[in-house]
Amino acid sequence: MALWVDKDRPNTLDKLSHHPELTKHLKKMAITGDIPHMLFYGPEGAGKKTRINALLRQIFGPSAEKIKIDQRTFQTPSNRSLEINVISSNYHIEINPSDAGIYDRVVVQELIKEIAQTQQVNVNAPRKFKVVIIHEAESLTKVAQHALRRTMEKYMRNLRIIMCCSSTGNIILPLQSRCLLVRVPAPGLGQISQVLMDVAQKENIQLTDSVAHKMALASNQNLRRAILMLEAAYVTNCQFQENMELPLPDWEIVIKNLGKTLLNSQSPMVVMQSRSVLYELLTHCIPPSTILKKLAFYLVEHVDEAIKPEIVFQAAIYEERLRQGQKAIFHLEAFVAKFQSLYTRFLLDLVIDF
Amino acid sequence: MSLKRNVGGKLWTEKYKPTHFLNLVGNDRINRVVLQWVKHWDYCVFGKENAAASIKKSLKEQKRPQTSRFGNNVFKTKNNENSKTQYEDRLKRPFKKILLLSGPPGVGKTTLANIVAKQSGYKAMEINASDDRTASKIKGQILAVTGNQSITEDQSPRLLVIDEIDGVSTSRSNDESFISVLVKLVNEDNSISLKKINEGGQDHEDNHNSQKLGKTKKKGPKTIRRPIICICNDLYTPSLYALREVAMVIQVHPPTTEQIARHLKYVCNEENLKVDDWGLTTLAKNSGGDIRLCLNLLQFSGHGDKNLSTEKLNSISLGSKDMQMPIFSVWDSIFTQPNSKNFRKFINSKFNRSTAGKYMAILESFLVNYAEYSQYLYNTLKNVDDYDKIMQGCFENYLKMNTRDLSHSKLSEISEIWLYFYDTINNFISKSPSNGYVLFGYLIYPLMAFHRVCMNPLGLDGGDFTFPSTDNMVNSKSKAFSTNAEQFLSQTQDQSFKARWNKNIFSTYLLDYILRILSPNLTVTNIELFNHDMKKKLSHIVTVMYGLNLSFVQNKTEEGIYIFELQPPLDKMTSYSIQNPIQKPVLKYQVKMLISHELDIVKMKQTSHAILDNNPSERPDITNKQQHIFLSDTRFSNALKNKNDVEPKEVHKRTSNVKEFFSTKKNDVAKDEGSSNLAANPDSKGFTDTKTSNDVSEKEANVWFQYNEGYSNAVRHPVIIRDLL
Repeated sequence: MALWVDKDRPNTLDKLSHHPELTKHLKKMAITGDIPHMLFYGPEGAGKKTRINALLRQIFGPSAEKIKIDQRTFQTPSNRSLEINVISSNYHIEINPSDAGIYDRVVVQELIKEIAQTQQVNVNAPRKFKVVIIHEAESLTKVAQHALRRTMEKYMRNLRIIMCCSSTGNIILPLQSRCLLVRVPAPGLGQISQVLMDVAQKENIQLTDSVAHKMALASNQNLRRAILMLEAAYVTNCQFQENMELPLPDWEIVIKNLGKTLLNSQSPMVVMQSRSVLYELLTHCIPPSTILKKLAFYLVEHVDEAIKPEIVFQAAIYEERLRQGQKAIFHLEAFVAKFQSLYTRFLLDLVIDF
Repeated sequence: MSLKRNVGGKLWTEKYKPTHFLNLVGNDRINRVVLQWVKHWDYCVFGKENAAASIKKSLKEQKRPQTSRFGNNVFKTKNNENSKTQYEDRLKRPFKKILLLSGPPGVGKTTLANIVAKQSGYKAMEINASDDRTASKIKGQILAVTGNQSITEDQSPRLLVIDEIDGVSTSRSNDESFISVLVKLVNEDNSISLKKINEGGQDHEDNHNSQKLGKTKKKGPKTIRRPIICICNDLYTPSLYALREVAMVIQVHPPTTEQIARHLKYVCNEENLKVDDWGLTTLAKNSGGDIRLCLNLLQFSGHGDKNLSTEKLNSISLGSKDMQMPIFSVWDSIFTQPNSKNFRKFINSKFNRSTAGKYMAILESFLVNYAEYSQYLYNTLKNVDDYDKIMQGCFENYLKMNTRDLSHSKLSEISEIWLYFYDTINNFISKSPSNGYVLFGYLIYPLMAFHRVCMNPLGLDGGDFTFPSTDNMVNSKSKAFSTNAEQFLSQTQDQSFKARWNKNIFSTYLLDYILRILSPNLTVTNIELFNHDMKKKLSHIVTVMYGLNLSFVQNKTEEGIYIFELQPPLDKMTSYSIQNPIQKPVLKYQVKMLISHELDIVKMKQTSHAILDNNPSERPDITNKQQHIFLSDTRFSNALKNKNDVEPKEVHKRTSNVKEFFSTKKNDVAKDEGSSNLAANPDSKGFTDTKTSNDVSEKEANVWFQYNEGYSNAVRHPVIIRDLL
């Protein structure tokens, strides 16, 4: 694959450089030839999927990397047909339930049962079981998760499930208790810069430690993003200089500008303006919670100590509301309005104090 | 009249239907405008002159005091307008050929139409929902009405009343819907009139005469020669959209409570029913201006009982009906302050610092009114079905409303509490369709909260209210974005790409970084001048683009400038229109061309590899017969330069052949030009090509010229693409 992120992705456990402890455990497990159900969780860009793929390779050998994509059609209870893409190799199958939306129960039931009930016919297969990987498991609906519970126990002979999610918060406890929980934390700054240096070496470019460190910092400890950033910076710049500007995504700049306007003036008109900005961000499919987080952190950075805790507290409240409701714009705007009223009051108090 | 009415067993609504224009209850002005419009057809239908004068006359005959009010502003402006339209239309018909009456049920729209028809000497012909209303049917009807003369003794011309037009089916089973036929008729008519004006009013007399005789011209598209009145309840039904554009729209407002009460009183007197005035007023108020409802109620509640008390009327639960208001009036009532007159008084008294007692009294009355209004608003909202739309309208406009909220604490309360409340409940309802409805009633309260915070004396006019469309727009845009994203992710060369990159990552940073990766700081545009680093970058970009299945496509702009556009257009996906657009490096045309060129080479390399991989057995065949790619393109000659496989010796050897060939070729072409003038034909190139190859095969030479009208820039030579790569 052409992008460095894909090209230089480690495909075996040995090549994984960060979190060596975790790698060691996984390796031990793979050598015994059997794995339990697993639940990988950790922030994005921490290398969960890479780690899972490397583990699969360790267990099944290189042929686990030969994958194909099928389109499967499912019938929903309301007689709608549902098409989802399924990635599979001889030994495993990957699904992303968020493709199915609220009908993921059907997918889980039908697809996984189908795999679970067919035994491995190939005698030469290295292992008797097949592996089902569920990406973005946090988007599984509760119904689908309950549908998984029994399947996981009943078909233990033929089936192992590896789930991958960013937080265990949305996974029901019965499922968590059936899995081996594997936390993949975000790699540390040192680890990221190490990876960046490795990539740079592989691609034959000059990269100094300090620049790598800077990139690691700017990427929010997201490894994938750090490597993309490195690649973008390499292409757009002649050389890496100490003080060069790191490329940021456009939407982050838009949010920064929004934050600036909010700090400058407070009035319903500003709320109106910010509404159009928020709408625009939403049309670009930036997840609402990401918008809220980014904005809140920007604001926290630029206000007085005294109201920082309150802003974080409010941001947390509105993030919860985002999850409860469905109209993201309501809550994003409510946060903006709330911030304005908080900030206005703070400024007024300041005036009164003097 | 009274004799007729004493016959029992008749609905009062029928019995006391107004029989005359002046008996009409309701807004006098509207009635007159309608009459005026119908009268306007007089010249066309009856051949009378001045329409306005005839109304005057016909009304004067009635010798009623109302006549004195005649000639008010409405009419004056109308007259002006008429004089203008009369110029335009040779039949002196009104400018808009169709009248569309709209208003809530029971205010007397149908009655109005019928009476006006009668008043102006037409026989109303009604098409309502009970009739078969298909496109073909209406065509026939209109023809029949406008063209034919009744053979019965009633010689009066027809006037078409299409009742309940909003209930017409809009199913697209046939090609044309009812409405579209109507609209088409009008449009055809307009175009004809325009044409006729240009031709001059020559055949005007003929037409006029034929009109009198009730004939229409057989040939050509029909003009509308009789007034058509359409009646609907909800003007903003989507199906009526087209009709709204072409018709003259008149909204019939319900008569005032007093007017209804007066009418009810008259009916009660006729029926010897004793009801006090207050009772009638309450009834009229509760009905929301629906006279029909009032009459029905009176008739049946008063059965056998000649004495109806106010209490009794109030106790009838049927008294207040479910009213579904048009959506704009719902918004209006949300944003309107109850009884703004009282409120203004209240404010004034505050400023005047009058006595406390008076102050309190006014405040009290205001509060009473407020409670009443809240109840009214609650009832209104209860009858609304599309809360989502209403809410969206409130949400998109509440900040624009002129509210007295200096600290903004109220506005933030809306967003903090009520919108959250609404969204949670709404989400619950939509998530569990089976039992979510139990919470449906609570959806009203957030809207009430909007009223409490955002009301102002002017209602919707207090701010600049717009119909909520942003949400839909945002939804459709983001949907388009995500489908684009998914398409992009699934079309890449690597099949597992989509598995590793999901949509969120794509929108949050992958897209931005890909675009940055695609815009290198290459300033030199000649590949020969590239240093090692630049070459590396170039090849890197090309591999990325190949892997992601991206390409630069040459397009011509409207100004005729050639530009290279990224395909699929990822760069358009990141554009943010709002506030100081972010500066992004833009690639030069030449650089794009260079990349595109290199990309083509890579693609060819890959495809030829693929071919060879797929059929290794055919490999010798390919080398022998096919895959002779003729490198006439400059870019390939470039490549040829780089990796020249042609032995110089061979070329040298063949130069003599070429010379010889050139001379023969010249002769050939000369012959061709003489015989069929093919040189001017664009196909001639292909022709000469085949010709040359034939020649070559005859001479068994491997190098040849393409002779192109005395100009040639390439020596041709069969090259196998594999050798080049």
